[in-house]
Amino acid sequence: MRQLVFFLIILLTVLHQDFWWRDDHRTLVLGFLPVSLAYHIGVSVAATVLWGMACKYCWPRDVDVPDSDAWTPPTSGRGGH
Amino acid sequence: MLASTLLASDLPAGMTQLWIIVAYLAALILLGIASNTVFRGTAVDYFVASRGVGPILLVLSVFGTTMTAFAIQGSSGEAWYSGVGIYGKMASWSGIVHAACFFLIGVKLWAFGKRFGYQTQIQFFRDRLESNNIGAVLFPILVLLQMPYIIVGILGSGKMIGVATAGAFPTFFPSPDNPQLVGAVPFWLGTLLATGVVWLYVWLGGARATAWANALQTIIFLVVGVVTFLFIADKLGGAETATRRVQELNPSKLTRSVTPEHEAIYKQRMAEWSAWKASTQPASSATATAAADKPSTKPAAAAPAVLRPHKPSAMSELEFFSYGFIPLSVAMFPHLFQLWLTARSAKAFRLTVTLHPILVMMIWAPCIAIGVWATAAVVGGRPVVPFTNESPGADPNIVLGLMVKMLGDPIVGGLLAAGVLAAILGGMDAQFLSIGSMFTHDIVDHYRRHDSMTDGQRLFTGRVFVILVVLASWLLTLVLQKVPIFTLAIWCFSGFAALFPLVFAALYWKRITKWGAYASILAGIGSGIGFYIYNGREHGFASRVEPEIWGVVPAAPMVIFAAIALVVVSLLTSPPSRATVDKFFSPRPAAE
Repeated sequence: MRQLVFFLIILLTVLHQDFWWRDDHRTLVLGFLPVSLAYHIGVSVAATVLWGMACKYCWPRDVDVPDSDAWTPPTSGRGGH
Repeated sequence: MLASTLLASDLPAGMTQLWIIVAYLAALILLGIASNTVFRGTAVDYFVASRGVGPILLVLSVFGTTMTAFAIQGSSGEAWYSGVGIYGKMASWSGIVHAACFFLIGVKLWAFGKRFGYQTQIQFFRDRLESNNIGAVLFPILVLLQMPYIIVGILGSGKMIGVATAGAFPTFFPSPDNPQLVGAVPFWLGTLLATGVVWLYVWLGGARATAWANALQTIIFLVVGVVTFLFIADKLGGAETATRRVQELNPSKLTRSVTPEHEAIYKQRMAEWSAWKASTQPASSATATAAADKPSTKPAAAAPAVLRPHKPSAMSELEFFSYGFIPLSVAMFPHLFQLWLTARSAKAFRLTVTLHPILVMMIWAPCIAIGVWATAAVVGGRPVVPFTNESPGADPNIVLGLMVKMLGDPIVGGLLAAGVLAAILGGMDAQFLSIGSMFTHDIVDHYRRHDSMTDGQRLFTGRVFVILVVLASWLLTLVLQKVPIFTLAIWCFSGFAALFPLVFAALYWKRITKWGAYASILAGIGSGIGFYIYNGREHGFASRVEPEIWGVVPAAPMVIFAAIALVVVSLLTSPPSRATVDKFFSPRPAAE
């Protein structure tokens, strides 16, 4: 699943280049949206879906830092970050 | 509409807009006061809100920070100028790439920030690259890249307040030099108000106030975008009618290419316009340029105007593709890093990563549609935008303002002003805070106190530096208000993008060395400076022509050069110590 999600994200970046509609000023979606603009709105929606899937299936390990592993300020109140 | 009509009849022009702006600024101050009631009085709370911001606040604040005034004002103007292609070039690319940066960079940096206590990017790079001096190199670069961005924001706020309040105080502010701004809140006062309010709530609540304010600002400009879209569509006879007029007059605005049919339609419409112009203004020259574009005030021109078409201009596929490099800049924005660190947990990022693309769409798509409609909009027999993309001095940034002005509704005008201000100030607060944090941690504490300041000293120093940054930015804006630094700000995005290979490799490549990092910065930023000088000599440093190198946006070669230099020099130099690699790459216990 992890590889499929990343593949789909890469595919989306390729499909972003919609050269097939670069000439079309006649087709209107919903009666007012130029097809190229409608397509890219679809790209935005697809990006939301795919990144949502990435969060579910490809979440990186080691990033959920437990409090026991977190930095704490020195007790003196000086130093550190 | 009834309320707006009543208000418009009772108040002088510009006064309704002024009150809406005042209400918005007052809401920001109230948020600052509210955030101060939960302020814990520590430096960590001031700079990173004690790492306690939840998912919903994080998504709204991060989105509000990444969207600038360009998302509302600039997007309409650019769509008016070059057509719907601007959405794919900037908005849908941003949706994909910003989310990627949050997922791949933001989450990891947050984890290192929590684990090792980092509050600035430079603290991370000093540790990761085993180099004290990387801070001395990165600090001026980050500040210099950020300052034009801040100044453009302050400039925008002053101009927006001025335009929106024109007519409010004709006695106090007569504005003899600019008749369009008679009675408007003057630039110095508008910018002082905007920056003063931002400073106040940052002072009161630090990063928490910034996050709360950004959330409010995000909601405001999302609502304003949709409301403006609906009102304008209605005024133009509906969205379908508005788009069909563009199909008839400027079909190339609905595509990225220019076809022979587009050229033929342009010639035909141009001939019709010339004939109409000659018949209504026999005294004026048919070859007149800017003045000829304007609607005539002569009685003979009372008949419905024939609109002058826009000259078709194409967007190359390579240029369109290369714009995907620009949004990489968010990976190195210091103010975004600051906001990332406020997250309560890594999981809080999931909503931000997921919703960001659709939020970008919600603000950009209506504004793009308005911009495209503006190329063929006629109300009362007059063109709404009295110039075309060929007119000398044509300013795309005022297109949205003109479209709102045609509504004749001061409330919508005031809401738009508040929405644009929200987009501007939403980035500015975090920028002030992040520069204040860098001065405090990376310069004063690190070099002068050898990282031994007490928490109270860091808090005090941070607040003082935020005041200095706000004051310096405001004064610089007053000095530079006549200098066209808009293009310079665009180059700054490219500069941040050129630092993307550095942060990506620092997080994912064990073999990166400090020499590779220096080489990457030199290649990326150095080539950018070279391109800037070359481009400035070709088109003029004040030119609004979109920067282009070898047919692509400069960020593309800058990122590629930076990546190549980083890899080659890292492989040629000694690898980092085992201890450093273990610190950043060895497996850690997972959270429950």
